[in-house]
Amino acid sequence: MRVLITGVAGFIGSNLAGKFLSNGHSVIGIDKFSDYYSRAQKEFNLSKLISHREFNFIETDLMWAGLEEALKNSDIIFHLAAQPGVLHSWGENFNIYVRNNILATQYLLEILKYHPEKPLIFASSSSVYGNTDHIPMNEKNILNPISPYGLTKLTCEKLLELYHGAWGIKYLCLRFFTVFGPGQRPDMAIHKFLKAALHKEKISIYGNGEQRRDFTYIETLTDFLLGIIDNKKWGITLNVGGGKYITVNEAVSMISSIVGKKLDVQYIEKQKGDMDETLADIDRAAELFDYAPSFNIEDGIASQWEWIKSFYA
Amino acid sequence: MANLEIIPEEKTDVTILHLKGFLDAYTFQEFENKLKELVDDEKIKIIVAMDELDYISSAGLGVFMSVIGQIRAKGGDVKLTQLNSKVFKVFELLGFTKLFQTFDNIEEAVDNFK
Repeated sequence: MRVLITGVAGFIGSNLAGKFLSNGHSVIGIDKFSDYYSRAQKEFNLSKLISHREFNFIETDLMWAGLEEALKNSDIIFHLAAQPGVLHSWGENFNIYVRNNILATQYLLEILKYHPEKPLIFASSSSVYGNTDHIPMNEKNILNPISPYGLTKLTCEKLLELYHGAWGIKYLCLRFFTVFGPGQRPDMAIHKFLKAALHKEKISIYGNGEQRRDFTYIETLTDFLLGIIDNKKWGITLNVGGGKYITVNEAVSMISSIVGKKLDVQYIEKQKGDMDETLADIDRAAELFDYAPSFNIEDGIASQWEWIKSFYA
Repeated sequence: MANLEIIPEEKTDVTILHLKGFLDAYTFQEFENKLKELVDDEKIKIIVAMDELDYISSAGLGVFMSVIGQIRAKGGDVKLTQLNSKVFKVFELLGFTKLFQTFDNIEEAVDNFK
């Protein structure tokens, strides 16, 4: 199958491309190398893919005239490109989030309405839930994002519904929950903590560290995404999480144990937009797609530790 | 940051631009300026030889689109030669091979101008 992945140089995109290539598919990867984090890390992510004969990379903004041709040459689209980061989405940055999340998605949907036979897999986020009193987070929960980032993702979800209803676009909307593992973005907690451990630096934890997170190991996610390409059920939104959670403090303890030294921790003011807890109700994914995550968080962090050491070597 | 080297060559009334390196957001301006300079000098039969072009991004591709209308309006054209497999694939995936003729070698492209 010919798979088009937007945001292919990012953490999830590059791992997903590797998964498809190693399973005999061809990949058209698109990325614009936005400056949210370093191009060097994205190029590092791509370095293991670029020489593969079935991988074709196009450096471009999504909202560029050539996209439709690339889309015609693919069978399924994984739309992972986005402006990430909850904390940065406030203030003057918001227009970047509107453009790279909402407008870019709408641009893609406008093209897809002329090609409704091509399915779109959209990467949404647990951020659409906000602080909810219903844990685990079920797809039927009231959505009440507490960050501008979450709001842009929710808007994208609504756009999918609209275009599905009006134009018959086939989509799956997947809400990801704190994905971690080799290649994770440098602004994400586990990456930051491991990097600090490597460089013997102090780590900063927002709030008291008792906020709970549903962590999802990258390979669990990419295995799931590989498994859904022959899917025939569309117009569905579902959680793809780990299905269990730990506190940030517990994650730090695990990291200390893996790297063999106690981390130097300081607690700083809680950030606006940072949710108190996330936990995915994964029953719908289990029912519809036999999703049954079975990774071990410590093993996943240990894999990421090896990656961190090689990346910062 | 990777560089782009542009080496011009004249063959009768055809100008050949040999590209070497990366044609992307950092280097496209240099290439665009070179093409505009040729158009200003009425040198509108242009071959872009890409055997040593390692990488092209949409910024680089955009240069071809920005000048081709003007060149063809004057009766000229831009033809491409010796694209490596990765660069050719990008052109193909984005539909550029429908817009620009490609050739395996420079001689064929020169003959095509006759």
